[in-house]
Amino acid sequence: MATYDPYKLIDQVRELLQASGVDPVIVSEKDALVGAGELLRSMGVFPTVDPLDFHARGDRNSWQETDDRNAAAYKQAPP
Amino acid sequence: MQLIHSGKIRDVYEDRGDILLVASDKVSVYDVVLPTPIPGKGKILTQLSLWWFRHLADVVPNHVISAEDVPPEWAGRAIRCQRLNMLPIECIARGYLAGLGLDSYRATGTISGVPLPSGLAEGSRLPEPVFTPSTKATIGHDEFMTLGDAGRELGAETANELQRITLEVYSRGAAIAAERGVIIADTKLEFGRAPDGALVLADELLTSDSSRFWAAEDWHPGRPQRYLDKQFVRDWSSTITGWDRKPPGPEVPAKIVEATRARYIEVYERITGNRWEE
Repeated sequence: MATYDPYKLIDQVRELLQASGVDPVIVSEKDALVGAGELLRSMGVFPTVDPLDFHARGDRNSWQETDDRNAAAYKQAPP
Repeated sequence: MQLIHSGKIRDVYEDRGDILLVASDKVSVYDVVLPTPIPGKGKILTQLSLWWFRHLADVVPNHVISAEDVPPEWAGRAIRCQRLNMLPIECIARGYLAGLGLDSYRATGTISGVPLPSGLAEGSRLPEPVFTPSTKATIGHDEFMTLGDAGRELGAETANELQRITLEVYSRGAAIAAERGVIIADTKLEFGRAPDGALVLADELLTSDSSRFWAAEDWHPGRPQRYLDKQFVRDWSSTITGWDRKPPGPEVPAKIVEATRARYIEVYERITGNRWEE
């Protein structure tokens, strides 16, 4: 099964756009991630993250703390 | 052996093609890791996670290879795991209203697009557990996804399977814990794919670093609930004047450390029914 990192794809698309003179801004990380996944799957590639990148990328705190932080962000700027 | 990441609550190593997860004794409040460890916390949570992996192995395969084939200095707090291709979403099950679920409900009457009845209060038990996947944010904060979002990203079949497994793991775990006086209000699961494409449960399982644990005897909807494990630290930290809840956190007094350690042990013993032994 072919796989590719959707976060990497998003970074590469951003660089491609910048090289073309466009300055993209990610207004919704969710939409970007969903879109990257759809694009990969349309090419027969499944979106996954290499475990080493996965662990290196996300410096996670405990779930309660993360969820409380997400809640505070939601209160400040509801989607 | 190569250190991949030294994190807030654990370190990750790559070894002989496997992943080694090594839990630390660090504890955090208000998203700030405190400088004082809680001795034994890493071991307690690792052993609790292993207990759950064994008890829920019939629901879904998991990534555990061995808890023994680890360097002796990490014995008890390290797990050798399969190296999986990880899925880029967090799979969350919520059985009670708290955190982001509560705020979403208050604002929209829904969580992750799932409508809920009106009149629920903070800490209320939901009519049924709900699956609330979210992004794994690389910047900023995680965002709720609907099941439809997850289906567009990963394919409907995979998203539906993740929902089914997540809710079954949560429901089974919550029922076991409830019999022993522990409410698991919500939990976060991570999944990967094995080389044959099978979904495999990864990360840690139903610990207090991946779930909200409340004492059943202390559960009172309509107000913030008290955590079963680190409430002593939270209460103590809320009394400190002059700390803006930003790093660096304050040193934790010895009596608070000991009380918190005792609560972690209590959670382990209540849920597993086993006596904690060093």
